[in-house]
Amino acid sequence: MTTTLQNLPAMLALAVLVERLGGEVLISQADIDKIAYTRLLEGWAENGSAVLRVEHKSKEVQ
Amino acid sequence: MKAVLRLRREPFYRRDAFEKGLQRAGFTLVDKAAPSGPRDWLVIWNRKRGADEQEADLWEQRGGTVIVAENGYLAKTEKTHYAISVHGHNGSGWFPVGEEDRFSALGFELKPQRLFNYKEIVIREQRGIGSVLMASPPNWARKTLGTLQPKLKMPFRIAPHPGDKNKGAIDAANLKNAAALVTWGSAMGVRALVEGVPVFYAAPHWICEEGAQRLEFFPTPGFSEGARAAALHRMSHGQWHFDEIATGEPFARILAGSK
Repeated sequence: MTTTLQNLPAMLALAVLVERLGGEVLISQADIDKIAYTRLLEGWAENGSAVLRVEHKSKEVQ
Repeated sequence: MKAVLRLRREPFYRRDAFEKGLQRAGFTLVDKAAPSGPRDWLVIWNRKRGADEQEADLWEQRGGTVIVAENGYLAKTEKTHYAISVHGHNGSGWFPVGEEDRFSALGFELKPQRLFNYKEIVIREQRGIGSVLMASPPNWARKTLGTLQPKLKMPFRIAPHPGDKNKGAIDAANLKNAAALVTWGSAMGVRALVEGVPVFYAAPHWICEEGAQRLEFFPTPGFSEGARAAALHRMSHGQWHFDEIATGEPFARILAGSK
């Protein structure tokens, strides 16, 4: 079974599953570029946690 | 009880306050001595690595007590308050923490915690003065910037050390737009807590560590009003006005707490 990833990172979990089942996962450079993301700090929540927005690099380039 | 006082002659009022205070607490001032027990004190400034720290280490090895003085952490007027603790400065030592409110008398209003709309992370440069344990590593601020920048898309700015004059106003100006302060262990962090700015610290100890977060948890500050109030209360018991020092009270409290 061969899977080409089109929609990262949600597909990553599926890729791991496919590989564990004995399948083959092909990841292109474009896919890898999509994995990379940037965290932006929006501020702090009342409970003292950081409010972060995660932005894929691909979106940042657009 | 005898005390060797290693503070400089100037400023005169500081030296005078320590001399009077130690004498009122029951100490005989001597120029040099070997300790014969924990009630013989060596009073030094900062416990800087090198000769100062070696002398302090030796004094403690022989059973004496080392009292470390430094500039205070928070005051409206500079050079009026001095930090006093046993063994080490800035949270690396011990001092008695009483129940009475000493923070309010400092005259600072606690600002609400900053949550949103502050758009830069300020990293405070440090001078690297202190004991082997507490001195910051060389180029700490720049190295920290290099570590944090890839983790978070956010403007970072290094605030230079303000020098010895007008520190409070310079620190306040540097915190104006800060979403957080990253510090090795500076007094600017104390001011940041007052201003409601989350603080991340990197030193092994820091005077207000209870109200802040260790740097390795960046960017999750984990602050709470209770922790901030407790940290500032503790800090206020670790520093004394020179008039209070002259009464001997901070030394008497240490003696009482050391029994």
